[in-house]
Amino acid sequence: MGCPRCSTPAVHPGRRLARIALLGNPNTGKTTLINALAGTRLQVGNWPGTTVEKLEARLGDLTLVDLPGTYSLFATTPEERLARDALLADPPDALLVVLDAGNLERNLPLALEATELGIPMAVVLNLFDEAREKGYDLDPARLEALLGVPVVATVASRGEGVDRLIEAVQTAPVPAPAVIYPPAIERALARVAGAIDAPAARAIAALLLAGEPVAAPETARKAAEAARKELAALGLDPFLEITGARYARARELFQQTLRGHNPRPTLTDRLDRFVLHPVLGPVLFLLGMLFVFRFTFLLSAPWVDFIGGVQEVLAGWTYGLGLPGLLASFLADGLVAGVGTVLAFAPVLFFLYLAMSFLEASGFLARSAFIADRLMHAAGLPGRAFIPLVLGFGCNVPAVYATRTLESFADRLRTALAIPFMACSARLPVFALFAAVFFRERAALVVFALYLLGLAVGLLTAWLLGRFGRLEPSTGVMELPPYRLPRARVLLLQAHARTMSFVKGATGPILLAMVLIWALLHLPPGPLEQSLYARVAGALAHLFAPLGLGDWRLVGALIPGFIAKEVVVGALGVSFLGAAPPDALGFLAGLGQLAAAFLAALQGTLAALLALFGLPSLPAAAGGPTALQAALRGAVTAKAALVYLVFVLLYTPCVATLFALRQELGRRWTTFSVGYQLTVAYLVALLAARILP
Amino acid sequence: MTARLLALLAAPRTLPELARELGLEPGTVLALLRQLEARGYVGPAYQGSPACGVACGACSLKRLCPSAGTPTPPAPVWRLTDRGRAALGGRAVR
Repeated sequence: MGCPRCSTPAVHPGRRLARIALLGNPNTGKTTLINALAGTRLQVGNWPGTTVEKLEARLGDLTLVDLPGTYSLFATTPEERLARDALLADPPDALLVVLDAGNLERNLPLALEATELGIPMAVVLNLFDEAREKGYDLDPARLEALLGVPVVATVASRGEGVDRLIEAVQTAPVPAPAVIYPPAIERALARVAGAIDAPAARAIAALLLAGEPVAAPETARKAAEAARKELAALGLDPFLEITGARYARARELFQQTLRGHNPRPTLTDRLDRFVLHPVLGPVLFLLGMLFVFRFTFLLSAPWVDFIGGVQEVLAGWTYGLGLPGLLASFLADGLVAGVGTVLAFAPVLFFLYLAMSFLEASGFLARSAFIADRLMHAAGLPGRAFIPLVLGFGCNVPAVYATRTLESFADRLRTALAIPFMACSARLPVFALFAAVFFRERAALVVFALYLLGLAVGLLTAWLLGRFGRLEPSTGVMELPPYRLPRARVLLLQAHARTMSFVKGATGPILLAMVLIWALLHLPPGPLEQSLYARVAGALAHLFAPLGLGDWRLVGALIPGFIAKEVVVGALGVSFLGAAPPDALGFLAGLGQLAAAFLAALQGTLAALLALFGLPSLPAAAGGPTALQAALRGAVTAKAALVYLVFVLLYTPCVATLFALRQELGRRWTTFSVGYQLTVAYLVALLAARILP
Repeated sequence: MTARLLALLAAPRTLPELARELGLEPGTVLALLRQLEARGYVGPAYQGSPACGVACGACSLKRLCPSAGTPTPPAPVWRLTDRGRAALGGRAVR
């Protein structure tokens, strides 16, 4: 198919394209479109050097690249800068500009900017069904004639119109610039563009003239600087002039494309009456959060147990090889345990990402943020920050990754540094152990108070960072996209890619940490009391003496707690009661255990699916005190136990959380986080030691 | 277009007001405001305003309002910043 209404003939008729980029505002259905075009050949990865997701698909010789959603090449977010730089530094052979037909006026300025890139382009009027539902009667043929490029109306979720897209883009011309600026701006643009030898010279010149930080030849920069001064003398601000002209032209095009508008309430409007209701909304929001929480942890638990079972079998096989004791221990308790620690996070992350991707793509995430906005405002955070904070009560690792849904770096930073204070589920076994021994009938109250303390310290951290770090929060203006049913395959692909990204990156650091802890515990060979672990713990115990925690066994358990907080209980057990190596396993016996563990995981998943829709239940009451509980009761006072719990709650998070923080915030802020949390944990525990009776 | 928007913001206004005055869809105005805010021409009007949060006092619906009693008004209100005022001052409004 050609473009009969295009005013400019195709520059390269019959050319072979290698790479087509999809450019569009957020929520225009680009991901669904690329999924409809590529079917099973979809690949999810990251843009080089970033954590921004990159979706690619191969169609024969063609590669389709989904650029991050952007409102303009005048970028305001890291994702928008990435899209702009990708277009300018490595221009694709053609562009598919994806517009939301139901928000055409808002989407058109980006299409107008794209006409200045000097790249063949076609326009997709996606979500055409939603536009009709909103009462818009649009004329794609008219828009095609006005823009001079092929325009195809599609409903990507149903595959409608998608078959025409590749042909349309293959015959697409390089469009003529669609916006004429005021004469003084046009003259300045011509002068700056003359110093740039690139098809996108006009687009780069506009960016330079508007003062945007963009790569360009020095001569062009100087020309732009001179032109800006001249325009300022005339009372003209190039950014305002250029932006204003684009929006004015977009309005004209929209009005000429619109055959009629008969507004009527959509399904989204009807649903929002309940979801955004001042009373019902918060209730639905809390139920939604509870569901995400339960979905993630109920469905992942059987597979975390399965990985634990595999770990046990591998350790048993290792001990069954007849290797020298220390080597067998290194392989089983160092290497196997290290890899197992990383893999144990994978099911949690996978199910969480699945839930988060669904919430985001369906439009519920934006509404949750809207509902929670008031609560978060107290800490100077946007409403969206509530979701990662709540997830932090389950596991800090995915919660840190969930901060990606926040727009500004300042918001991401403040939320991510608050998350480690949320009492994750791994800390619960430690709380439960001590609370059951020392606070019996008040155990639930003590544990609840610890959760509240973590939340309060986290929110205070976010507030302090905003106040003293001069980090301005985003204004909280949020867009509520229409409700949509996301494609299950895209959600699964995204969840898988994001989980694998963690596993690949985290294995090295976590393994290294595990091996270090193993060395502390096992070297020199002999009783635990003579190990490096005991010596380091003994030295640290002096530091903890002002907190009333002088017992090296208590202090030592905090060291492996750096790997994972639940290990604190195991380490206390080893220190107070001693430890025996796992039993050696034969090959067949191990296979039998693996099969049984796999079957148990499948059964557990089925049970979890059923439990998902049931009421949450409380854990069964514990029986009599265990040997460890009895040993703790004889060694620690109730006050020291509470101080210890406060420190466990607040001190440096596990190594996997630190890895997530490093990925999201960088090394500098992660180091700050470690120092800050240790200091806060020590000071709050010291305060508790002083004020508790 | 931008000059007219800046001129309208000489007095603080909400998004629906701006959209009505400019004859644009609210989503379009919001996109434009995001651009202008990121470059410091406009900002939220409620920051530092002692009047905000007081107006709810006599309202019988304040218990149902998610923003009642907070310093944030129910809908974001926008104003011109110093940079926006300077940019507007140097040119004629179209």
